[in-house]
Amino acid sequence: MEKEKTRLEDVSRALYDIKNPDVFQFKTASGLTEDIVREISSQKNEPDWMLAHRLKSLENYHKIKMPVWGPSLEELNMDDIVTYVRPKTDLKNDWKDVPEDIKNTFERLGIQKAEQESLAGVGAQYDSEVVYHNMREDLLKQGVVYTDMENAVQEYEHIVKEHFMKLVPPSDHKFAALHGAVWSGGSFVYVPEGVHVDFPLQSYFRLNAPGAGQFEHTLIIVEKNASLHFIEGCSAPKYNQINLHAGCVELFVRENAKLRYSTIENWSKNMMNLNTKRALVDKNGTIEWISGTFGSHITMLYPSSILRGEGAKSEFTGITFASKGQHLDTGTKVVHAAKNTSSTIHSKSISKDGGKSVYRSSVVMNENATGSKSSVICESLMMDAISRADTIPVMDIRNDEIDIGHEAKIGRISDDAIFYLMSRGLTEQEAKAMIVRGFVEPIAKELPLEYAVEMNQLITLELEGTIG
Amino acid sequence: MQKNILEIKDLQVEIEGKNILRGLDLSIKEGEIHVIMGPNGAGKSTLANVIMGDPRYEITEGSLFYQGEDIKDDRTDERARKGIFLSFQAPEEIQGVSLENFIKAAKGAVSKEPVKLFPFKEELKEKMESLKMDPSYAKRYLNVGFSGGEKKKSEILQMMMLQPKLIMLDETDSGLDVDAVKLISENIARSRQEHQSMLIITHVTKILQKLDVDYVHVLSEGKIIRTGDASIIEEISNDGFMAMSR
Amino acid sequence: MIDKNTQQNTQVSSKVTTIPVRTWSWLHVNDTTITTIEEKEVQEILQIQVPQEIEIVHSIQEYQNLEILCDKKAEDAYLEQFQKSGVTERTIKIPKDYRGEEAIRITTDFKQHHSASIEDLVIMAGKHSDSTVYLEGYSDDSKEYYHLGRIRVILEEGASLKLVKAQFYSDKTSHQEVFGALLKENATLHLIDAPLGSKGSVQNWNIIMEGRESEASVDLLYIGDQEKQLDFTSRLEFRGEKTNGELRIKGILLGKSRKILRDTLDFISGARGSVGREVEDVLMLSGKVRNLSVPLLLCGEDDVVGEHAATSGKSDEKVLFYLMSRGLTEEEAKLLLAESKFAAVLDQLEDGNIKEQILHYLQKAMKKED
Repeated sequence: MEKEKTRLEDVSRALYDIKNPDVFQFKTASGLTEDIVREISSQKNEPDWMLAHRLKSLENYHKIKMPVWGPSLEELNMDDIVTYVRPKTDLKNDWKDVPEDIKNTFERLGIQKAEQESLAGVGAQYDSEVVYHNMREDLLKQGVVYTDMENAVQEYEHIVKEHFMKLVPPSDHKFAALHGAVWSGGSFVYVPEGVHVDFPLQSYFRLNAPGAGQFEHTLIIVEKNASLHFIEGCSAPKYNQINLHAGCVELFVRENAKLRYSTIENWSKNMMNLNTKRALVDKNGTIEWISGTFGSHITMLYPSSILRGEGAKSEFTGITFASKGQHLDTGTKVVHAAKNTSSTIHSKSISKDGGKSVYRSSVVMNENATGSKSSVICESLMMDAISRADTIPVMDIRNDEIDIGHEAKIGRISDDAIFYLMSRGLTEQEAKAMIVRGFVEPIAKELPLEYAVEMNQLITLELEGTIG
Repeated sequence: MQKNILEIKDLQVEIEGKNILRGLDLSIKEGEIHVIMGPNGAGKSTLANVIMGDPRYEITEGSLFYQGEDIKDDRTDERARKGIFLSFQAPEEIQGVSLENFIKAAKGAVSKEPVKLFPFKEELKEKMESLKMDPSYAKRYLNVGFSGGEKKKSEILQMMMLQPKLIMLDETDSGLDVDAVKLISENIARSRQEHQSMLIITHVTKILQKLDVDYVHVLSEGKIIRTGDASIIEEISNDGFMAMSR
Repeated sequence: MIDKNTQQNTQVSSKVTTIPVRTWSWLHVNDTTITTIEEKEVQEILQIQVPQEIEIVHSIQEYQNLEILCDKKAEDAYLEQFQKSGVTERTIKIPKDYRGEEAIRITTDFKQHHSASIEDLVIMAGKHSDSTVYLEGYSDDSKEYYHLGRIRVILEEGASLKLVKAQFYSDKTSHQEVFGALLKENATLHLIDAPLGSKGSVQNWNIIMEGRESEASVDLLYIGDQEKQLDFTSRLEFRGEKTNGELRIKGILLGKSRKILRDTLDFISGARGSVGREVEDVLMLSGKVRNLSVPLLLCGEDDVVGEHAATSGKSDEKVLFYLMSRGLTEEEAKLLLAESKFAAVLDQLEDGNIKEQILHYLQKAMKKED
């Protein structure tokens, strides 16, 4: 473990910034037209219903207006974005068979190592397609399905058709519509009744091409009494042009099932990250969202939970670190639509060097949510007077037999705390870093070790200002 | 001849424009134990905080020498690394940082060498036992939710692990029950090495039981108005501080 | 057009954005519906009683350009109304160093021959003055009165003002108000506001702590009953260094009432050393109420402490049981609990009359439940 730490300490943002040459098998023209959408569909040999879905989504995209709230998206010009880049390989299940440069990218990011040491399965996506997918034999035997989305559309057509973009319909908002039109890649996971996947499955999304967009779709169904921990990792090298990420995650947690969905988003600072994640939870099911947002230029991300079964639970733990040039608008939404449901939200944010972090949430208690509870704790740490931290929480309560508590705090690292730590020999810088790491500790401890270490590294780097 | 570890001459200190120390003189030789007593608001805590380098206080006049060096411009952590330690009256609570990890980091900073994990853990365990601190406290966040007594023990534990040269105790006995004071006092006495100097700010004198006090000073209205040996403690408890003015 | 027979007003609704930072549209918390009237003639109903040292001017000319309301759109709509229908303008000048025992009393009391009152009031508290102002609103139950008010308060350096506002308009009265306060160095504002009456209050507060070490302490009490819709937007702006602001809200919701509260603490960059708190505590006494809270916390300065908390729930079963075990009926126990929510604020009211009225209003509202 000591050696591992040293290796990561040597790593700076530079690791994420390693660019492979922009070679590809196929690339659509930039922009968004019906022809481009048809092209993407034909490249994938999709069934008719999927093409129809794409076209309807495109229609929606043109009809729906840009959001009138949140960060300005004027820097995004869809005409300049390439929506589909097919890498020079097809799907492999052995790293040996993956082309050298692509394989090295993932090796540097620690994917192979993680796969050997602590994961039950890995999916790796490079630009618009999944290049590697593998899962432990015994899980396959138990009926667990973990495959790329394209394959799922073909092989598990029935179940995919029933669920695909039903939780996040293309009519939901402009970028859901965009996603519906040009989605590519992503994972499909199906955990059969009663199966407990003991080690996490991880999908890693790497965007390499400049000026491109990544629109992966993740669809997970965890059947009755089953459980799964799914980890999503993503990164992209820094370019001078805007890259776009408009992915979509739909999670179905059935009766008594448990799903933990962890993400560390570390997009480069030219990235517009407009992701939509939603979970539907049935009776006594639990969804746990663990979310760390560090990179990107602009992020709009609000993992949402719809608690439709009695006793359903949602737990959200999130950390957002906005530094120079970043406007990170994150938060969560919970709808309590049944009796005795409960939700907890624990969100922390750090703003530094002119970064802007916005926490936006909504907790809705429906008329039928009798006996439900919600607790929201939201803390923002300001590191200077040029940054911003805004909190915009909404509570909509339509039933008196509920319990809801909400607390939010904004402040900075207290001088007294810094003095105390310095009196024990730490420099001011070390004292601040220790306090900030302590601040994010409740999230760090929910992450798998490598991610926690990575997160602490990212924080240290952010504090030192070495990430450009 | 013993060297002066601490030499303060004519120290004037202000905070937010208000004058707190008004020409304070104090000399401590290596290995000596000095006690400071005085009425509330006299400036006792200010003195300790100024020696530690609390940036809120401004030294407007006078000198502050440690081990023969002028430390007026030294940052707090520089002073810590030179061997100055302050056990705070109201220690800060630091979320998310465990007591164990914190002490390890501090030890590394002060000793300037990487800390060997196994011996460190053994030493920590041993010292926590002698302070009758539940071992689970090692993993708890630094001072968060600790009772008054536990916070003081946490401070003394740090002192015992860091082995400083100049130890300042700011009302370490306040708010503690008789048994806790006895326990802490024993630990301080036992762990103290001959060369370690102490500056003890106290109201209650029980903490001094096991220690060989060299000098007792009375600090009033920003200055030291009387210096004597341990015998004046009884005088003070009989006649009060005001009687001490020359 | 005024209906000559019943002298009712013709009301027109429009939507304005009152939230400082917009959020998801589907939550319907961004906008407020405001009501304006077509009538061109309104009455001067406002009555002011002041001690002799205090001057009243029948104009707000001097403060025409004073912009201390954060809600430009609502204010513009109201200003249009002022133009259209005429407005009662009053400026109350409290002189420098004034220290009076006697309070200033401002009352609007609608009677049968009235129909609408539109008021533009400025209260200027001179340097180092210390005064108390009561602002009350009443109406009988005979018809649909219309009340619209703009109140602007300026506290000069070192001034201290206790402002107690309470309105008990009948359920048929339309009531809308915008309130702005500007605090200079070391000024202190203590505001207690109980907009309990009317068919559904629409109120807006914007308090700017501009001067160093200025302080604002605000208590808001509200009661939603029957099918009323309450719409409240408050904002505390921390602009000067070491300013201190606290907002405490206690609400009781009954019947099928609907309430939306957007309360903002806004720390402007430069407000070093400032401390702000807002706390909302809502007691829901019916399963059919709709309770919307948006406690915004906006911050552009690191050297501040900002906190807000909101709790919402029904009566504590254990407490009800305890009270009933001492002989109170369930209704009596619930009333006692509701009164206890307001108790801390009521204790600060020196005017026994207003206190009584508030308790009486609460009892009436709770009785209507049965």
